[in-house]
Amino acid sequence: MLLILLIILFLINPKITYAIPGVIRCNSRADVLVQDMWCSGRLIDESIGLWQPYCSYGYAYIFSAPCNAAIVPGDTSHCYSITATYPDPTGCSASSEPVYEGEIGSACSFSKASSTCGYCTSVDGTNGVCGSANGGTYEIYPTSNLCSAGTAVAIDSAGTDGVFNWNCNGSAGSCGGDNGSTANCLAYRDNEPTLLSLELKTYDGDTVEVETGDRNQICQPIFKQDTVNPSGIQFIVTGSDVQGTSDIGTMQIRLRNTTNTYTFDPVASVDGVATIPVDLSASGVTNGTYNIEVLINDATSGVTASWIDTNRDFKYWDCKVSVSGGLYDGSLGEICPNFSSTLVAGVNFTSLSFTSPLTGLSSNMTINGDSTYISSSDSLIWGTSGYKAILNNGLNMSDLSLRLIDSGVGTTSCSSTLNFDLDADLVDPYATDPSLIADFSGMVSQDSWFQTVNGGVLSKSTITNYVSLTCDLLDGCTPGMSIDGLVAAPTINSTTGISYSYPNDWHVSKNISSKINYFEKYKKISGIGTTLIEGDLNDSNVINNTDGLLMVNGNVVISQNKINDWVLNSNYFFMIVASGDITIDPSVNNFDGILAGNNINIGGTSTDQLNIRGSLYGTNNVNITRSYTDKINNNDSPAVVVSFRPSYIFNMPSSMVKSVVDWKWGN
Amino acid sequence: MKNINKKQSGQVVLMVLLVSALMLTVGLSVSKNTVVETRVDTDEDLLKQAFNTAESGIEYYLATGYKQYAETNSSATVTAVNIGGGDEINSGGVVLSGQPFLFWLVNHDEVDKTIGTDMFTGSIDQICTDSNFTGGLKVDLFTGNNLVTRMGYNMNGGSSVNGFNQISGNCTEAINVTDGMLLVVTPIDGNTNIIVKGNAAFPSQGEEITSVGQMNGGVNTKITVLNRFNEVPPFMLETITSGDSVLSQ
Repeated sequence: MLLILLIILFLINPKITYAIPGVIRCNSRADVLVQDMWCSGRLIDESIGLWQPYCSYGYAYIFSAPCNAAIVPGDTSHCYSITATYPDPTGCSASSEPVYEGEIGSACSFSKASSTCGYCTSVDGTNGVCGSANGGTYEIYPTSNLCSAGTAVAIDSAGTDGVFNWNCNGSAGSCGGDNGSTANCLAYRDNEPTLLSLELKTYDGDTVEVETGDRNQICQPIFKQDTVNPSGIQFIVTGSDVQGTSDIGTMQIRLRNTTNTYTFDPVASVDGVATIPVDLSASGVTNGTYNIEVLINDATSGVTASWIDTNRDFKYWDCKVSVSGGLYDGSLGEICPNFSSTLVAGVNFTSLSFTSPLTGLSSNMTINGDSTYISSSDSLIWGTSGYKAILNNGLNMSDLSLRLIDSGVGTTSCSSTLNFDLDADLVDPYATDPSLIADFSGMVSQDSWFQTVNGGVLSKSTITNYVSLTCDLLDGCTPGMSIDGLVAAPTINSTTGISYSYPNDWHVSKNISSKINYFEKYKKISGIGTTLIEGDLNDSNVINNTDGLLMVNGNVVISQNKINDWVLNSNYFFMIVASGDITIDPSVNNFDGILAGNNINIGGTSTDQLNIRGSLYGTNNVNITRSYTDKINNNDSPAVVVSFRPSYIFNMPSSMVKSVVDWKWGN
Repeated sequence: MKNINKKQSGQVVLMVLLVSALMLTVGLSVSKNTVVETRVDTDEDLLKQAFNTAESGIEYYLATGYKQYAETNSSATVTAVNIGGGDEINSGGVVLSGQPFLFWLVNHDEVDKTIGTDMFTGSIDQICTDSNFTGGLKVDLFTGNNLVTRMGYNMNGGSSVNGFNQISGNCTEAINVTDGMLLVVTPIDGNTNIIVKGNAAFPSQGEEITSVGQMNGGVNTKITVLNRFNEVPPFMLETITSGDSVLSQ
């Protein structure tokens, strides 16, 4: 039937040059024989009577060949030329269209007339298929597993709306084949939680305010006063998450510096807040200053949290502040901070401790021989209030002042007392090695000295008497060897800066005294008011019961006070003239009378001042070495005061007053 | 020959006479000296006896107040004149450096020489030294009620003593005195006479006692004694005095 139809068509249209009997082999692929089927043709160009092989069922033809012939691609043995133009299935331009020749009915292979257009087969493109990233959750736009087929093309890689979008484009068809389809893919964006705030609390719940420099340290009073655990800290971490606090998982704290890193157990957050307790002592944290870093985990897997530097530091240390210093000579009146540079020596500096009665802390210093000291292992404790320096009894210094220097930063503080608080105002706790220099300066305790009142000091040879530099009118001490008296001797040794005599500094380096043996002069005197004792006199009862002129041919020891009531007995006169030495025992504090002997010796120590109301004469020396038992008392008070009393002149016994001073002989 | 012998004999006699004359001259000379020495020894003995008698007269006067004194071959007549008493008193001689000189401003009993109660009140206008004295003048004024006021002056522009007032001349400034009892003036770094001038009469400073001793043979001698009141040991005028050193260490 078909053949008849073709014949009819051929007869009607003489332009048709080919009939289309035969069979074509059709397949969807060029290289695999899939199915043989009966071919049919269809008229493509009626004007030229071109027929095109046609494959039923929509399969593209591959080539024309005898049905059931086994051929391979490229086999042109069955092809022959045709004269008709045929569109190039590979897409070549019409001008270069190959001319396919051949008779389809017998040999239905095509050949190219031009080498510029290759032979092709029509292949459909591959459809795009989303990869495993599709539907996932990511912090950032994924870069892998986007497509399992096709090419990934980002549509929205920012994901600001919480969704990343991309397409998996199918591949294009070839030789007229269809393009592969495009798959639309997406993934969900998840943000890493962020740190909203960090708060520190003590174990007992007190909030620790951040200190200047964004830092804290374990020796702050707020920690030390923690009754639960002074070495414990509660880190209160508050996080934030775009996806909401419910997307915040656990939180962690770590302390990190260049040497050590301590990471503490994670704690689940509640509503974005986690309280992380850390016992620094129990955790074995070594001394040092650490960055406080937090790790806030996202509740959703796939978002990897990273450590966040809170920009807040924490110093964990033992609160020990080493201290050192020395005792400086402040005899010239230096005032803190301008201490002299001269360390004192020989002031009996044997011990120093810093104690805090408030806390019960006490640190004993190690004393060096040069009047310096160090704390050694017994350091002070930072954060301690009410430290007081306690120096040993018997220290031969007074009016001590204290200079405190933070040896880390060099700031200097002065204290009029010996008390101080060891806090941030004094020592920077954040210094690498907090340490303190505590220097003392004061008046070196003076050796004994004496003073005369209303009368001078005259010596034929030398006067040595060092008045204390600390003797100050404001303290009731008159600075001078003599008050209202002349100081005269060829050699005078006294304290530089102190007047010899107050107030006019009367002194002369000349001898204006005489060496007289008054015992020899007066020994022949007898009569009323005169007593002569042969031999030494040690019985103070005799002295106390004798008035007038007491001549002693020997040494005299005065061991009891002899005090006159000048109101009741204004005519009082008592004078001892001895051939030997006269010694005043340290137990004597008051003596009214005049002493003239070979040597006058006033020595020893006493807690009390010796007051002599009278005059002293030594044919040889007057030795006044008596000192206060506590030498500090020498600083503002003479141990011996000799006060002149004019009344003795007018109360002398008549036996002493005879005077024949000049003789003239001649006619 | 005979003439020649006479002539020779005369020459011998002449030589004998010359030698004899020479010897006589020498002998007479020795004899004269002997006579003079004998006379001097006699005068000195008489003078010594007269001096002793005069001295005894003073002692007798000091002891009894009587002004006539007689021994076997001698006697003494004593006269006594008060020292001072006017508005100017003086040291009566040079005062050595470092030696305090006492001017009493309170009277003394004429009999027992004890200190009286009549104290000087007025002005000590000047205390003067020699015009060439450039040392220091230490002045201690003792007044009633057991008071002492100590002053110091460097005289005539001197600078002997540190702290003393500078005086361009040889007299100090005026000093007002109330109930004055004693003025002690001590020259320092030089010797000088001292004159004290006031606006009122100072009390007597003692007596100038003159005793003339006379031997019955007519030889006499005169002794004058200045008997100032109340010698005071210098160390009693100060607080501490040493013949050697004063040491506190």
